[in-house]
Amino acid sequence: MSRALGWIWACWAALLVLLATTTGLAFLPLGRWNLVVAIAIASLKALIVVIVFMELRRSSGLVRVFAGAGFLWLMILLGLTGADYANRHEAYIPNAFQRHELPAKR
Amino acid sequence: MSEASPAFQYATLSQQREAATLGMWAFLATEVLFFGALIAAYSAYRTAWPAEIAAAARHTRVALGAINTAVLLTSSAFMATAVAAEEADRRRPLVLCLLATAVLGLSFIGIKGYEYWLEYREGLVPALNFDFGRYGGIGELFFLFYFFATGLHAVHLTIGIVMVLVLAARIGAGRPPRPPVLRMVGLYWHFVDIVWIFLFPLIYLPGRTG
Repeated sequence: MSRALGWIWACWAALLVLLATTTGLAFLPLGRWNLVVAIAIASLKALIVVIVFMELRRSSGLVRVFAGAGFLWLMILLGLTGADYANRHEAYIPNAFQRHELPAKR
Repeated sequence: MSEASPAFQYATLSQQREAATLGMWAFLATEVLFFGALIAAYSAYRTAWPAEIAAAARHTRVALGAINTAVLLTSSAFMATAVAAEEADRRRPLVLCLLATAVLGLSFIGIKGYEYWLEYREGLVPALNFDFGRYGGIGELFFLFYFFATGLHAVHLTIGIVMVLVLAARIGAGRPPRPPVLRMVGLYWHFVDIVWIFLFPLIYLPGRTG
């Protein structure tokens, strides 16, 4: 038990150090890197929680696949939503249609 | 606790634990997408109006947010310790760890409620008293996200606190649940922690440099 406890509380200390780091870095003007650093540190914290606290390091391959599937589908969700919003422009309307009035609806 | 027998449909306790763990992770994957949709909406807002979102995020209390993150991370460490104590068959530390987890969870809710109160006083609550002239339309959009995301997180945490307290009461009374139950509640608790790990930088950290 004491070995497991050592791991758990070492990870707790690391998580608090990461929390202090990300909060401190938010006050430094790093431009767009502020967001990148914040997300990278959050991901590292989540990874520590998943591997140690949620015992993924001791879990079977199938459980790891299930955990990975949740992440994969999240990436699909964020990726496709982002691709959609990144490529939204005013609809392209040919000049010919703009010049002439459309027939009135009946 | 260790001499408990598996439920009738399982051959062994380890088989039961494996099945329960798999089911819990499948449930957590749906929860990832549930909160993921909110975060996708946030990303769309933030890409479209980066300056306005950053300006709105400055109205959140970063000190309270950071303290709350530390509180939740500590509660997760106690939850993991509780699982280790169950494995080592030590009832007293197990109950104490569960109580510590629940108390820290309740502290989180208390600090969050205090933040909500401060935000209410500053006219930052959409649909109740949002000060449109002062914070603008995009500010309202940010605070809609803020109250939805933190509110849903608080609901999840409250469910977790209730489960942890019930577990502590049952184990304290000498009627522990079947072995995988505590572990499964632990998985849920850590998941709620992870949601907050991502909400914290998205809500509290933008716009702190200006």
